Amino acid sequence: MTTEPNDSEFILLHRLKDGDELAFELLFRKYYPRLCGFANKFIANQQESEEIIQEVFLNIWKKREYLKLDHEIRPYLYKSVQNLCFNFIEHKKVIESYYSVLNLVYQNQSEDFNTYESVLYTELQNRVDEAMNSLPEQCLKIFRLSREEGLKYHEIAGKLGISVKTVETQMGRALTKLKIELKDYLIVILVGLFLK
Amino acid sequence: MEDSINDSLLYKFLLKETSDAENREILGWVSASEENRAEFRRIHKLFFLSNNQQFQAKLDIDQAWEMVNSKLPHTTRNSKVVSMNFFLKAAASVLVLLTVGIGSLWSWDRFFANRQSAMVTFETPKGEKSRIILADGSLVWLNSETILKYDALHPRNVSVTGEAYFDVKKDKEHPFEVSTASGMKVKVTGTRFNLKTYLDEPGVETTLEEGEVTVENADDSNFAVLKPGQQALYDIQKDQLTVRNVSPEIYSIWKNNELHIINVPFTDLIPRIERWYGVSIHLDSLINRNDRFTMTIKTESLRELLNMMQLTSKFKYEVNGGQIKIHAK
Repeated sequence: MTTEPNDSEFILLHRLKDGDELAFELLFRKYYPRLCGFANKFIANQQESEEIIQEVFLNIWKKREYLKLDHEIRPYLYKSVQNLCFNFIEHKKVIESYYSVLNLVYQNQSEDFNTYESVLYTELQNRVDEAMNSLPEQCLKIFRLSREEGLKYHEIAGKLGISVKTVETQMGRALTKLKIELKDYLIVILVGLFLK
Repeated sequence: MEDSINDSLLYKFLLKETSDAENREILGWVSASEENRAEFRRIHKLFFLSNNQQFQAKLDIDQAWEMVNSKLPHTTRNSKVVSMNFFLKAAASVLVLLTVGIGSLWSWDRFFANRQSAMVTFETPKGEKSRIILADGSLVWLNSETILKYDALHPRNVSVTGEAYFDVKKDKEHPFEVSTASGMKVKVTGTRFNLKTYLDEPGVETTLEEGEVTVENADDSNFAVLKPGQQALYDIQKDQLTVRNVSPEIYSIWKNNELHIINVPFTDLIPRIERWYGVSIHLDSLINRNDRFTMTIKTESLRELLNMMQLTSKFKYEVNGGQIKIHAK
């Protein structure tokens, strides 16, 4: 009676190839959040990231009959998203220096998306959450205002009555702490990448 | 090592907050060596992980699906199903909608491999919920750790362990029957009700929202006929049934994607939270029971919720497994 994810996905994929909209919707709902998260890593813009994922799914629907899908759609999804993200960066690199840096950093790089769904990755995510929660109060507060509420540094500074420089330093401190706490995990993830 | 300087700067950069001069500095740094680029990728990964879950939780999947669905070139459905035999037809009409959670939560027991076996099983893992549409068009919401089974030959005979909310399609000719591991059964023609029958609980709880249901013993003898707003509690050990009047919507609150609390006093809030999180809460008599709360709960954990409530009400809490104690401060 245990569920076998691959089996159910296998059935879904076959129904998708047959033009079953419900199967398509199920796949969409299952993968939408994580793919958006993955795209946003590169795009750093929620709306643009969401548009990319929606485009990926519309392409899948259009090409459903020709998809070569055996048991898994996951690698195909991540690959498609990455390609669109890299195209996006390529186009924007001249206008925004954020994208020119990303373009340089990820040139000839292929993200190992298998790690994004692995057990190790979940573990890493948990460790990050733990490490975040152990940050000093002020540091955590600033971090949350920035990442969760999307406030700009000067807005945080205004709100808390501190200098922008302090906000900057505190955010850097949060990152340094994560780096130290997660050193071992990052090495393992990178080694895993080479083994693939 | 100038780690902390670089860290602050890189983080600021990833938030797109850096000045042109700083951007040039970073561009210079990543251009300098592959080592620096690898360091950038490591930091980028941490940056991503440190907010990825919150980012995903904020997305509105329903709205996104609407967007995509509106752009689909809708074709008229071809009726391939017609040529299939009954088993496949029944299976094809079992529609599954995932509403909460991302896990895979259904399985068709060797259904396609061996058509002799027509058992259909749905299972929700811990912490996830799902909604399914049965072959007869009835809707069923499954709470965390619930298993629903039925034979495709008899789609209106289902068995449940865990908690499920049924919106049964009307069909006088074919009564809908839900059996539980305790032997107790619920028989209906068309109605909405909630059934809670976890294996580790001493009783079975049936709460009727609309219509009429008959609660039956294992030997088909009638126990009680429920009216809307009534709840039947079956004590498995004593083989006894008690019926009481309740607010039925509280008992099916778990099936919603969001829990809306609008100006609700502490005392009325507690049963809602208990049902939402599946915990039991003991409220200290010194608590100001008239403190009112307004909030929307979506994916927040119980602790997050209690912390949020502490902003407007003075209390302390202790969590001990599924038992929560709330004390006055």
